[in-house]
Amino acid sequence: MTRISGKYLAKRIVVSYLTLLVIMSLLFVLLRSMPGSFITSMISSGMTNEQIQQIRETWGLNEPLWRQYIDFMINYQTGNFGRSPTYNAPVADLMIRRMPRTLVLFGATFLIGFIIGPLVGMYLGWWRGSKKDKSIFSTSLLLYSMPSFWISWLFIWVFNYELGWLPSAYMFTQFPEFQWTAFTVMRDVLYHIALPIMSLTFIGWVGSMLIMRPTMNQVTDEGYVFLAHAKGLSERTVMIKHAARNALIPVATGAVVGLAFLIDGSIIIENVFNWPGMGQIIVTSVLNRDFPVAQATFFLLAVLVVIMRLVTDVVYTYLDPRIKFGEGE
Amino acid sequence: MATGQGDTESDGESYTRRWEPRLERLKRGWSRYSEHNIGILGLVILGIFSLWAVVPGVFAPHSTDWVAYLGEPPIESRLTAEQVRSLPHPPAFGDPFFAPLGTNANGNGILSLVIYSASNAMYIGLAAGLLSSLVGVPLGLISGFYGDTWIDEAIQRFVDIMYGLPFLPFLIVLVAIRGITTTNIIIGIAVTSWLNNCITIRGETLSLKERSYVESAKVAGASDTRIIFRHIMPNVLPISFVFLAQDAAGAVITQASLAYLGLADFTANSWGIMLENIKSQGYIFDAWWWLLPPGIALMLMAASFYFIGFSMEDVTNPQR
Amino acid sequence: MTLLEVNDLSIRYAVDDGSAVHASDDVNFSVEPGETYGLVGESGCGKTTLAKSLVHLLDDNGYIEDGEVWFETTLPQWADENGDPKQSVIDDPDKPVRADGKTDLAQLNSKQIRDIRWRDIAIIPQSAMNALNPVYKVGDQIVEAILRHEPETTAEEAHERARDLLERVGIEPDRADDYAHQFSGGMKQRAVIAMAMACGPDLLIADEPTTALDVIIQDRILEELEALQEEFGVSILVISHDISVMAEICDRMAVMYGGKVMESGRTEEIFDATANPYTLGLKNSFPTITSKDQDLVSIPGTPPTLRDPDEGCRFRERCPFAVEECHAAHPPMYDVATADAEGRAVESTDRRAHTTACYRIDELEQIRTDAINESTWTDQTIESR
Ligand SMILES: Nc1ncnc2c1ncn2[C@@H]1O[C@H](COP(=O)(O)OP(=O)(O)OP(=O)(O)O)[C@@H](O)[C@H]1O
Ligand SMILES: [Mg+2]
Repeated sequence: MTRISGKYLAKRIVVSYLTLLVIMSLLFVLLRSMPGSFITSMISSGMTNEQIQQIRETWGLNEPLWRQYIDFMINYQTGNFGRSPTYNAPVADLMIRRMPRTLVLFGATFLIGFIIGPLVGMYLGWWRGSKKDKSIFSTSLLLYSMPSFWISWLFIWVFNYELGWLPSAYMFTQFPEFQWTAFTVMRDVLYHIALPIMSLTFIGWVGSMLIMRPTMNQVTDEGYVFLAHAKGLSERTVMIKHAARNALIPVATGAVVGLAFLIDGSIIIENVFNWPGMGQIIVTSVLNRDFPVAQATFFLLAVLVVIMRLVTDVVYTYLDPRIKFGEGE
Repeated sequence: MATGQGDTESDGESYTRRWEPRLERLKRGWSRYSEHNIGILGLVILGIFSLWAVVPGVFAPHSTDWVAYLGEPPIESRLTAEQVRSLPHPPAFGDPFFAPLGTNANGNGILSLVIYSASNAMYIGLAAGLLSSLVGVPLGLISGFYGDTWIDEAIQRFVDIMYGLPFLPFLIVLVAIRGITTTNIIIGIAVTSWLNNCITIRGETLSLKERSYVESAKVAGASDTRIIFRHIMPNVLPISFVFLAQDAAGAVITQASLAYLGLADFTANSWGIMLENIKSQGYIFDAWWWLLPPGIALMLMAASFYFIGFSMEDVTNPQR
Repeated sequence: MTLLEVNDLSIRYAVDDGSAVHASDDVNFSVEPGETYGLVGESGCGKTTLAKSLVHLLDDNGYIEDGEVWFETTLPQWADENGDPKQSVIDDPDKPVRADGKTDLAQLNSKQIRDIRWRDIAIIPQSAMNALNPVYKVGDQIVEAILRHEPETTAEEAHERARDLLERVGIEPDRADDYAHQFSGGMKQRAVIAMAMACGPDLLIADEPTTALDVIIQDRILEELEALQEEFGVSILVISHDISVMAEICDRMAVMYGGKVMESGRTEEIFDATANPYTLGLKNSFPTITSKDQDLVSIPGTPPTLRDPDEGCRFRERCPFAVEECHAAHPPMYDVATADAEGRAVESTDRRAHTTACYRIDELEQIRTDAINESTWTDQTIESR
């Protein structure tokens, strides 16, 4: 739609970019304040001082810190993410391979969560205080209280260990004679992604429900909902077309918070299921002090959040005609 | 004498007059709160956990150092190979030993470990919740009160930036920098969880600011600090309690997730560590008595905080 | 032939402490086709409740305790080709349809009443300003109502009609594509009126149509309503606490107090031969009605809460004319004409006649004279304190 002016969008993009620069600087400081350095793993006890100096030189650690910082910032602008000492490969290659895997897992759970959550929230908010509301609401809070790795174990236990229906790890079947056609690959990935998605959405939908329920309940008292009833529309139409449509507006803002929750969740899930994405690598790289990889993963996740924020703003204006960005700005 | 008596009397009177409305409000709040079954349930669960935390010895059948077959320390003998092979042992009620929820691979009683771990979760939940409220609420108040000035803008940009950092890895870095201790884990959780409080309190303050009594206080020449703390703060305090409860729940879960990733203070007893142990020792699918109790305890503790928080939210909601 | 006939309608709200709010008690009135009927009374006396209950739009805790709401219509599935109820339906004891073709709305279920809403009875809610959905175009909201009740209409036709309706109430037809926030308060009010006329209802309920508007817009809205009535022949049930507004537009009216009808009759009768202490007090408190040399006096005290009210006249606590008898039971409706002519109190069941609920109707002249006196009202407060 035309409600977002180009000027506003440009401004938002600039702000997002600046936010990213600050996040990168923060990252630089944080990672370098961690005890240990990433070359520790490359130094064995038998090495001479020269050899160690040599390694330090190759990885640019002999430069003064401000120089390292500038290099880091400039390299990132040009898409040069450096080399990973632990994987001994360009970080960019690593990221390009792992990013889509995470996005698949993440996108699917985000989508499912943000469909189920508002839907359930709509019903509970509409019937707030009813027996059904009370029981479903308290159950969902119980779900929300489960540690995600624990619920994943329970799912693996039931669906893999006991029933043997679904695989519990990795993204592909691990044998060489596998027929690599587009169809089999897709089926295989779906087969492997089923349990991770189930585990993550099992608790992930609750977040958006928690936002939708009270706002839904609020709009129930609005004059336009009364009028919609008075017009003789069916209860369903009033609930969905008039009440829920308005209650959805704050949910769009809440999506960013939900995103953070989902990122946390998918990091854990990737580790439980050995899903070879960024969530798995971000933990190991931090623990192994593989700074180039850690930096890049943090950075890309931050980019994801910042982009989602922009998208949210656009969705928001679609949802609410009262908002007109960029006119009075 | 007579005057003295008169004074105390009027003192007493003004005292009741001052406190009566507050008591009345409390009573009304409680009756609203107690309409929610889950609110009561949350308090009951939390009450039980508090008892476990304060006097675990009363509830636990053994100490945490108790070992199957051998009993309480000091332990002189060693386990036989056959005994070791029987570990982790499923629930046993007297034969060959008493462990109602079985043992872990080291022979410690699961029930006792679960009970003794309550204090750790409770501490982390409450401390992290309190801490993130202490950061988030004042910042939200300030940001809202100075809405649309550079102060507000600065705080909001900062919040934006913090949202850009994925919480869990950020937490891992923080904990790694400062060392893995319970205190540092609490601080790390608080550093990442105050954002929501800040945003909500800001919104609330923005709308409170427009109310007439705040306006009139301003006209009467009250200072900014006075307006914030005397007029706005009391009104947002109830919501902050809601957030405290929710943050506490989140902290309990986050701590467990950190333990799962291997970042926990292994000198303490905690449910998260119990679960980490079952994973690292490879018994996830072989010892349900070890897998389920810590997870359920975690879930109930977090849920009780959520139950209390959401029931309280209804009390603070002025709509009804 | 009447359009709407309300018999002994009692409405309750269930409240937390287990008691019930008697928002309307044994209310009787009827509305003729093409007539403007007014419900007037202080805030909280149950006007809105009464109006909403006709089409089951009460809040969740409200319910019809007792009574009938006969309305000249029938459900689509019960109608023959002329739109009259089929004989089989009239004969069916389970269906609330009378031989004269009226249907008892109080007995319809929630699905059935939705067919009556808007098509037969449209309601302009008390807060009409907030009644437009902010996320849909105003025109589309009118179209929605048309398509709901006349599904055979095409979308283009419906849009065309929506634009005509807006034009009819003085809004440029092109504004149909605007959202509510682009409208002024008065325009929103008129847009809702246009929407109310979309399906050509037989009865239009206007709840405080002018309260939130400034005087000039108020007058225009009232004219608008009168013009619509002329054009479409719709009956209007108008609700207001402002008795001067009522004097202007109503053919007949009922004065309500505490959930009860205190006085009802033709507007001139009520104003010229006022026969109830409450109506007299109400008249005193409005500037345009009181004669110039008279001071404005509002009725002292506040309206009752209506929670499980006790026996006795509802108004007795604020009434300067209350006597012992008033504490026993709420008075029945007495015929005013007989009282004026013969000085006798005769109960009346004729809902078209001028009637009043007051035991002291035989001393009417005295009461009317005293009521103009300011001290009658003010002294009484001192006593009751
Ligand atoms: N949902 C409810 N629950 C309990 N009591 C209610 C409810 N709605 C209305 N009431 C009470 O019912 C009585 C009648 O209310 P109603 O809204 O019909 O008054 P009204 O005459 O329309 O007043 P106003 O002029 O202020 O609109 C009032 O005493 C009110 O407090
Ligand atoms: Mg009303």
